[in-house]
Formats: sequence, structure tokens, C-alpha cells
Amino acid sequence: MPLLPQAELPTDAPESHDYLWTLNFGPQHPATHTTLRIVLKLEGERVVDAIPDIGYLHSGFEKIGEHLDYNQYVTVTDRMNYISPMANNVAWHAAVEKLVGLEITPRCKYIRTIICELARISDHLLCNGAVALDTGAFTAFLYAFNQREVIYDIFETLCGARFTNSYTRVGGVSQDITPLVIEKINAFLRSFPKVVDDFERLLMRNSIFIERTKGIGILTKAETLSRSCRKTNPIWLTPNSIFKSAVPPAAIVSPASWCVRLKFAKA
Amino acid sequence: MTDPKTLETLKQTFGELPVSEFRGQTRVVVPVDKLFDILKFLRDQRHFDLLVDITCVDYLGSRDATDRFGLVHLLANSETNERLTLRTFVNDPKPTVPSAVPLWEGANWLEREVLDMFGIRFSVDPDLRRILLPEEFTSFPLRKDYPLQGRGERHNFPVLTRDSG
Repeated sequence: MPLLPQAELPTDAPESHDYLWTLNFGPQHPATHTTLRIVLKLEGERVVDAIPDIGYLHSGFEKIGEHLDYNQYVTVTDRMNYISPMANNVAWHAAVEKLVGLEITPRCKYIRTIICELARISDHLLCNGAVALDTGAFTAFLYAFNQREVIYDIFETLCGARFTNSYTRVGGVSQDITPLVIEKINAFLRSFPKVVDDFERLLMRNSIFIERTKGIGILTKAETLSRSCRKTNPIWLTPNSIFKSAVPPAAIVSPASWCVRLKFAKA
Repeated sequence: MTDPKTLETLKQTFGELPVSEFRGQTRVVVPVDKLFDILKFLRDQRHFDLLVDITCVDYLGSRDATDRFGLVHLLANSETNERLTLRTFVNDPKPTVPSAVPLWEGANWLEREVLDMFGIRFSVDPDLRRILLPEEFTSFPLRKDYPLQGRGERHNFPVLTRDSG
């Protein structure tokens, strides 16, 4: 492949605002969590321009997929959102089954729904914990991560892998659910609500957290309801029988989106 | 799920368009010159306020394919959860389509990715720098004729040694 000659490369436009400072934010910065470079233009302490540069992040998942079959590709879906790989596995094979027109057994629907819910809870735990971490509440982050460990243990008992599970197959799952897994899930369900309450109290009474997040990302009740895709796009199980949508309390003042996530984790 | 009224009003305004349905998902094939007007119509008249994704399919070597690229716009109505897929067929050389940035700001990064990976140009896009690949890169990796192992791009990059810097 020939490279473009130097003369044809785009150049930066001549700078008319020379008095502005240019500051590189990232790519390695604690607040970006992963790598993100933002080229900031500063006027004193005010940011007047910000150009994000995400870098060479493309993983080529589609190209890899051209050379793998439907069951092999599930290992790639683990890496797409590595916070909740189980949900990605299920989404991938649900799509494949929809494409080939395959109806799976009710037992498999229940197993997949259960592991999806566990994956969703662990995802919410990390997101909420990371928000707490960024606003300086390290304890709350550890409370959340501790519960993720419990879910990892359940997944390990279920399929042998803690993190990149590759659990689903076309038309089913790799291993059946065992009594030990059910026991562990029940134990988790008994202990988890109390931990969420602790987690909520750690943050919702924390004035630093409230002040830094108040009034950001406000969601109305109607928006929250219409965006719950478990209700609007149920894959298998009828939504009314199992799921209630998480709705924030009417008089909510502090970070709405955070509260909704927490309610989602509880629902 | 797509509301039949959406397809009906589309037909009334823009004439007959090829519509197909597969497993409950509706696809409308849109000619390139009408794409922007149809997107604008769907956003303003049918309240498709959410642009879910813009992506592309390379039909090279595909059975019964008449065109090389199929550009995909996925739209959703966030209130009623109505969804619609638009497909626009374009061909080499220099496939060009109208940009959706005037309608949805967020289209910019999606279009830059399609440009990077498939080499489809979007007109009137204010910012069409490469988003994921180096500026020197001349190939389009997600085209079907691009090999899995790359096309020798690694040994083409200039080698910088400690002394030359």
C-alpha cells in the first residue's frame, strides 16, 4: 500500500488566535479512564475550543468477523464491552438466531435472561462506582466492585471463565445452569439490596458528590420510561411479567442519570 | 417496528420507494439524490429524533448484488420506539452521499468512520479528517477486497531510530 506523499497531507489552518494557549489533555489522564486525547484551546482558564482525538482505537471486529463462523465470533463479542461480556454474548447469538430464524427453548430463554440481568447489574455497579471514584468517593467504588466480584464468582461457577465468558452458542448456551449456580445467585440476591442501600447512603448524603453532580444529565419520568429497552424491545420474555421500569422519584434534585442507574440496578 | 403511516407518508411525498421487511425490520431503499430530503422529512414530520447509526455494507462478491456499497442509516423515534432502516446504494469510483450533519450533529463521527473504513465521501461535512486511521493511510480496511492481514502498511511507515530524531 503506498502512503500519501507529505504534500497531500492536511495541514493545520493558519492560526489567527495566537494569544490562545494549546493544551493537550491526555491521552493518558486519570479522568479519561481509558485513552482519549483532547486538544484544548485555552483563553486564560477558560476552554474556548476542544477537539477530541480518539486515536487508532479501531479493533477491526468486523474484519475479524469476516473470517470466523457464528460460534467462533462470540469470543470477539466478549471484548466489545468488557464490563458486561455476558450481555454481549447474548446479544450476538440472539441476532444470529433471528437471522437464521431459530426459536430457542424456554429454559434457554430463562438462563439467558438471568445471566443478562446479572451482567447488567455488574455493569451498573462499575459505572456508578466509577462516578463515585471520579468525584472522590473511593469507598463507594470499592463497595460496588466488591459486588462485581460476587457476580464474577457466579459466572466462574457457571462457565469456568470470570471475565471473558463466551457463554452462549447458536441455539443455546455452552453449559447448563447447575444447582450450585442457583444457590450462589440466590445468596447474591439476598445480600445485594443491603449493599446497594449502603452504597446509596454513602453518596446521596455526601455533599461533595451532590454538589459536583447536581443538575447534570436531567431525565424526565417520560424519557426514562421510553428509554428502558428491556420494556420497549424485549427479546424473549414478556416484559410485564418480570421487569419493572426504573423511575426516579418525582422530586429528584441530585444527579438524575445516576439515580436512574441505581434504580435500574435495583429493579 | 415501523408504523405503516410512516411508509404511506413517505410514498405520498417521495413517490414509490422499494420497501422490504425481514423479521419485523423494515428497510427502505433510497436514491442518493433524495437521501437528505427523506432524512429531513423523517426527522421533522415523523419525529425520528434519534440517529442510531450510520454504517455501510460492501456487497463485493455477494450474490444478486447490483451495487457495490449499501450505506445504512438506522433511525429511531425515541418516544414511540418506532424504527426504520434506510439503505442507499452507491458505487465506485468516488462514492459520494449527502451528509446528515445538518440534521444530527452526532452524525459527524459516524460519517468519519464510514469514510475511514469504506472510503465513502460525505458532502458538506465540515470535518472530514480521518478519525481512526493515520492521515497517510490510503486504503479502506473494511472493504471486502482488503485482506485480513493488512496490505503491508506496517513496513511502509517510516522507521524512526533514536539517532535520527
